[in-house]
Amino acid sequence: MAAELVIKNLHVQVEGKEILKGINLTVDKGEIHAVMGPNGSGKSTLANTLAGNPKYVVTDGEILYHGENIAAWKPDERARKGIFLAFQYPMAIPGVTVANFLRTALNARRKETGSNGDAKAISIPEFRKLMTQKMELLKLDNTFATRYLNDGFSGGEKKRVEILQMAVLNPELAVLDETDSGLDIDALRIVSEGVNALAGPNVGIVLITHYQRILNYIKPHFVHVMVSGKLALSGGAELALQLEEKGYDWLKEPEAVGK
Amino acid sequence: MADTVATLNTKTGLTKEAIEALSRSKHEPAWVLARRLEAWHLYEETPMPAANDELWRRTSLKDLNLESVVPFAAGDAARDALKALPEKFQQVANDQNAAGVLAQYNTGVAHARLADALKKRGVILCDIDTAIRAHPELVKQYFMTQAVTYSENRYKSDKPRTGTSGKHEGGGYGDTVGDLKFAALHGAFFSGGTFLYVPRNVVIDLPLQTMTYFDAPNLAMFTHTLVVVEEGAAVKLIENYASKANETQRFSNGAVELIVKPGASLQYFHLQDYAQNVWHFTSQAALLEKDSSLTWLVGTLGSQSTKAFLDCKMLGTGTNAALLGFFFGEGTQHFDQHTFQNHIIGHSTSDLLYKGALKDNAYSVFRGLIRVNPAAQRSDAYQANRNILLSEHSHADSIPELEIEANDVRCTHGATVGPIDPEQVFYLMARGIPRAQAEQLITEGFFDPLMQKIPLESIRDELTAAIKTKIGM
Ligand SMILES: Nc1ncnc2c1ncn2[C@@H]1O[C@H](COP(=O)(O)OP(=O)(O)O)[C@@H](O)[C@H]1O
Ligand SMILES: [Mg+2]
Repeated sequence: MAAELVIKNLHVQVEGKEILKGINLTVDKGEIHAVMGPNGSGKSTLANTLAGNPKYVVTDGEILYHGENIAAWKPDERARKGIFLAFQYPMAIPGVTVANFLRTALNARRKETGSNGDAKAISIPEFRKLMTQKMELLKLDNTFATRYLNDGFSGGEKKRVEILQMAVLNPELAVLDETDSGLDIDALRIVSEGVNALAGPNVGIVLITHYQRILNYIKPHFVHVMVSGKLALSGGAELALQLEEKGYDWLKEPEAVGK
Repeated sequence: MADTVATLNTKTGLTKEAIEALSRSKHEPAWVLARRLEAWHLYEETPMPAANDELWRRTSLKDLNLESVVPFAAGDAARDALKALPEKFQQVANDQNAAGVLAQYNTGVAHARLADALKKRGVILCDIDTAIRAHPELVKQYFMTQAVTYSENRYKSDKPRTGTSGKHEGGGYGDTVGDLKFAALHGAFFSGGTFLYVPRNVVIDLPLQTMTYFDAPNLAMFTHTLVVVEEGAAVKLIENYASKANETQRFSNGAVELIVKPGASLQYFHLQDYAQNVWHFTSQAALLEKDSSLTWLVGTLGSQSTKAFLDCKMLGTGTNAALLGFFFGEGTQHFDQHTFQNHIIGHSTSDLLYKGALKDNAYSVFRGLIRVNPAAQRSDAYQANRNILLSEHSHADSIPELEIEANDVRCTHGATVGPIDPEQVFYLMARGIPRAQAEQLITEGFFDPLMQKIPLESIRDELTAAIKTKIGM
């Protein structure tokens, strides 16, 4: 069976500038891959490219999801097929409640995953039950259901609501982009517990982070370090500790080091 | 009068003779006719707004055909007029739980009901013709004498102004005719409409509703709303306007007067969804006396062309006005709206939010004037106009204008015009929602905070549905 995600020699441009310069990465079901690296190295670019953000242009290489090249898939199609991106900077959508948004998104995904595409929309009571349960998991009180999505949310609330969305949509491949940034210790624990509850043998996770801190709670199987648009180094969980000690500077400009 | 019941006037043209015939058919007292003729005189004296008139240059009147309009339909509406109204209006009219409803079909009353408890406390809800007969002293006092008047050009000003039009020759709007021409025409031909009077300290919780619908060929509508809320009283009024779509051009020239006495509270909702062959002119004005509060929402979905003047005068300290508007243009719809936050006295707050969406080739002008008089120290005046363009060829102009003559004021204004944020669309698509549905959600959400202000769920739902239909994605 094909691996969940295979990225081959991926080159990506943003506004005409090459940011990713040949990424190779394979993520299998049940695996947690941490992608670490300094600010500006291209981590969010990788995340956005996987989700299909039209601002990010693939100029070379390919992304295979369950063995299928997803180059032509629009963002909504990718999401319905189980790819989930927890945004580093979630957008506010004023006027659209969390509940309305989540139900719309869930119904879109169910349509795709249902047998022969004829899955019924979730009933309102059933949806309420599901949402309440997932909100409890993330220690979000139920007033969040009727609040406008990310509108006036604190940084920590936004990140928790990203994981709430993941919990409701039940993805097969989750890319979490700095979900730990800007969280205090308690919020970090809540979010990590949420992610751990959702991880499992059927899910592949790409955990993007700048800090080692979250890896105290979520144990990666692999750690990769991105520097200047390339994965400069890969290893096991112990690599994260090494980075914690040494920082990223010694890895910078691998081309220059090689010379 | 039996002989007038079935006779529908079909004479076209706006003339003095037509005014006299109208007044006769309504058996009006002499003072009413005198006022109509006075207004007519002013109408004749005032030039048609020209293309170079600062307040009119974005709305061309060259295709407006006033010759073919039928200025009034004589006689009362037929007994079963209610059945001619749209289904949703009939439902409201037949709702026995409603505190008060008034339905108008063409220029006649189709249905009127006010809860007995309110009648007993002196509340009046009727059409203007009835008010003239039954409450002449109130009509004499308030009807086009203080709020919407045709004797004074509220827009003429040579005061220095900041904002986009500050450069205009002579300052202000220069030598504009303002809304005088059409306010005067309205004063000559007004008919039907709503009179609401709430006596001192009467507080009405449930909203009152009116519905106006017209379908008679070429009939011009001159609906007049006059609301007087006496000291310490409180009321909510929701007005709905609609018309039948057909080929011929139609003309509507309405006025709304809101008089809010000391300590009183009014929530007024003006929801216009005329068919897209209507030229709609409206002059609306609110007067706020000391410590009164007003929420005033104007919804514009219909008409071919709307030219609206919306004035809010803060006459007393402690007054508080929330001026809200939403509009949604499609096809070749053209909306040109002027708002006026007029702070006469200080320690008063006005807070304006107008939001619009435009698709196809629709065009909107929002022009918001804030005036703070020298005596109006410690006024707070806020203004925001947000527009989203849903198509390449839709267009919106947003023009804030400030005339601040006091130095201790808080005043902000902001305007945005642009397409839906593509990052918002991407965010929703990244959750599996297709593009069209994502844009629809964002557009609905854009209007939602305004919808939530409407105190009746049924109306909220209807408007949301109307907006959904307009989004049509
Ligand atoms: N949407 C964008 N528009 C313009 N430049 C971008 C955009 N996204 C990323 N970049 C540029 O790409 C580089 C990598 O950024 P990013 O992927 O956000 O890095 P990281 O997430 O590792 O901090 C930076 O130089 C950044 O300025
Ligand atoms: Mg980033």
